[in-house]
Amino acid sequence: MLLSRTAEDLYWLGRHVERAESVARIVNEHTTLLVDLPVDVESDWAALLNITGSEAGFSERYDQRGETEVITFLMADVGNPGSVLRSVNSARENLRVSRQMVPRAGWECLNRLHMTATEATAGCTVRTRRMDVTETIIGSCQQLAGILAGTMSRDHAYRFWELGRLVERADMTTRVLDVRAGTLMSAAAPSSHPPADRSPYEDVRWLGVLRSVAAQNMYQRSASTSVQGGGVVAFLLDDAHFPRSVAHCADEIERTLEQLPARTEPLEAVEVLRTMIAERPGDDLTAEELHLQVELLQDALALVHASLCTAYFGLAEVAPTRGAAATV
Amino acid sequence: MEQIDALSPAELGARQTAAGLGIEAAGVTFTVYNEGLGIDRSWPFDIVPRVIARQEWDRIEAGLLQRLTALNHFIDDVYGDQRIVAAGLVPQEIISQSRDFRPECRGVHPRHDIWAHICGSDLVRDSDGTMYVLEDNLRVPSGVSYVLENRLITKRVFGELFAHQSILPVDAYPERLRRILASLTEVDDPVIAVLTPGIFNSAYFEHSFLARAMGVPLVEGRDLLVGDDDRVMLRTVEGLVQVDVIYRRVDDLYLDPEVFNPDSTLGTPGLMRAWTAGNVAMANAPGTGVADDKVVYSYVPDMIRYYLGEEAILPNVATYRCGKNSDLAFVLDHLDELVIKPANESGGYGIVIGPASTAAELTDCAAQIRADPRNFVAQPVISLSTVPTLVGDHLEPRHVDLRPFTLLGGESYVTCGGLTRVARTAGSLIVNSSQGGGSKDTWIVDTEAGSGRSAGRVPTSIDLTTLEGDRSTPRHADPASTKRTSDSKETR
Repeated sequence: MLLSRTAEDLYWLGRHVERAESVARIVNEHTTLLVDLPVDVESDWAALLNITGSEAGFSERYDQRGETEVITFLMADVGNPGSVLRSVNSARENLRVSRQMVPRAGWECLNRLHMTATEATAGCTVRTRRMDVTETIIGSCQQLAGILAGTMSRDHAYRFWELGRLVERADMTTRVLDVRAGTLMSAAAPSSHPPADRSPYEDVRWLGVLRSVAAQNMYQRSASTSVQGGGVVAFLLDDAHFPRSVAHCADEIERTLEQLPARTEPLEAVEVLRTMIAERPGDDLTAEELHLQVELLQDALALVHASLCTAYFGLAEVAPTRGAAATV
Repeated sequence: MEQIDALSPAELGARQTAAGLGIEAAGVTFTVYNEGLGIDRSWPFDIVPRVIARQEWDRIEAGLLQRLTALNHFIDDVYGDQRIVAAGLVPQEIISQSRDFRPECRGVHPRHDIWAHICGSDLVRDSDGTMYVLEDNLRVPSGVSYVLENRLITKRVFGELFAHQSILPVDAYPERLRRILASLTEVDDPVIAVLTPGIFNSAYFEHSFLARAMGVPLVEGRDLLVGDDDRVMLRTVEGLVQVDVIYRRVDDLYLDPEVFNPDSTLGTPGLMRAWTAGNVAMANAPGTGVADDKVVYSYVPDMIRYYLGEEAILPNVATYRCGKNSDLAFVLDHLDELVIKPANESGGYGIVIGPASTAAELTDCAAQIRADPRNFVAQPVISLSTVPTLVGDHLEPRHVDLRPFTLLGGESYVTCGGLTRVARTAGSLIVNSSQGGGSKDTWIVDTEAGSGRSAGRVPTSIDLTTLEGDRSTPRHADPASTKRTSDSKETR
């Protein structure tokens, strides 16, 4: 028998751990990218705020938009609900009240991650430190996922942790596309520039988009073509096999929902998401078109999230059952 | 004890360190409230076990069951016909003025007529060797999880001692508790839940521990829902599931905002409706606190006589009721020699120890008593017995008390031993963990079985001179148990 409250805690555990990992990764990637770009290319730290959707929150708390402020805000500021430190704190609070559901090693791993994040995120303003810390955090999040994947029973409890990660992951992929790819596309429509004419930095930037969601190697393996805009967008939206593509996340969400007690709304919401990906207008889009596309996808994801809340965590009146608890 | 004595200071220290690490790794904690902040502290544990002979324990066990049985008769009577009042033994106003008397409970008949299913009595041994009952904790007593955790740690640190002793095991508790909870309903294979106020409660560790050990869900008030049909439903991802038995660790007044504190967010609206309708059993039942009042405590020997026709096996500590004029005059005259207790507090809060108080504190105390005499009792200072305790690298005597846990329902059970709480500083009588006290594992040792098992191997390695209660003949002990105590001496 899984309490709705515990299911919600595990779902949020998944979202928070995934968020900590994703934010650490985009910070890491952006810093790497900077090394490749010539000094006069404006290093747009504010792009990181756009990706995390935290422009407004940032402006309330900081006057300057420099590297130090943005990195502090994203890594170590507990006043930012999307920061790495805050996400790790929240994940730990979620697991503290549901730790009986996971193997002990999972709790210990998250505790270590919590200690690392508490001690080290503030030091990320120094670039060399930043690479170490972000990589440690990414590694710890993956370790927790590995412990649970390897040692946790595949019951409803596990499914809600998975759902949280999938929803958060799909959301982050769409945000990276919107901001990072969007910026590139507005610079110049890719079709008007044959590869040979393109600035070498454009390739680097497209690689950066892929690296932001850890997709570089898998993209290269599947595409066997040069890195170019339309291909990257298609890969991140619709690749059936890459685990961080929106389509793959949608497939996994659907598969997971089918193993949970049947509820119509979440399945319908994920169907909307899948239709939207399948029937998208194309991949060589203008920045405006891409932005519109991403907004629709994010609305659909928000609907998936909301329907999960009502169907499984909420106070929704469901026909009373006795003994239903026996089936996991 | 000889084996423990034989350990070098360094070895003792190393084992204490190992125990401390074990506690930290296992995350055994309790919460201390300080300036509004809850701090999760590691459980303070002293590795030297406290040893009590089984022969004496058998008598204590019988005394605890006798007492809980009589207290349950009393609670059932209080919410029923109040025969004990009609008989002139307990004044009506003592009951009606008790802070935890709940008129809402009148006329309710819990299964087996049992209201208090889980009791954590506090026992103290005076300098003359007598074991007294100091308090009956019938509301939501805590500490049993530490009994089990302490034993796990001792087994790890002193594993070799268990080979030669017959130390009675303690780990049956969660299973016995589950069975007794299940006996509170007629439903086969009932759905049982532990109701906790939440993670900020000082005993959350225990709530979670017991739920896990019994294999039942740990729920908060918001996880439950009581419908118009007065059934208690649990919100699960499968939908609503009916709950049959609730082991509630939430105080009466927070249980149900419909009936009690309307601002409580810890409880569930409608829980009392469901309970009075007989659709859910609660352990302990609401209203049991009426027997936890320290004035009511002073009547327990009378209750045992009245309801059971027996004499109390375990004596009460002499108690002056300030609500009684003659007692009040005596108490006010002897404040500096007595312990003054509010009738309805727990955890050591509000207690004034006369000999340890300043004149100003005593004047203040006297004023409080005069303002509300019904709500104060006074007791002579019990010079709690001491047991050897590791201080730095050597053993010193420290004062202790003992909290065994007694279960009563379709069957009964008493823990083999209990939670020994130990004062941290020399001479101190304060053992509450919330006030800096520590704890010890408590061994009930079957000396007869022990000597049988170790025949031809090692002589019984626990020196019986360190057994408690052996130093003098208990003053209030019945002849039979005195005989058993002296028998045990001869087996040495």
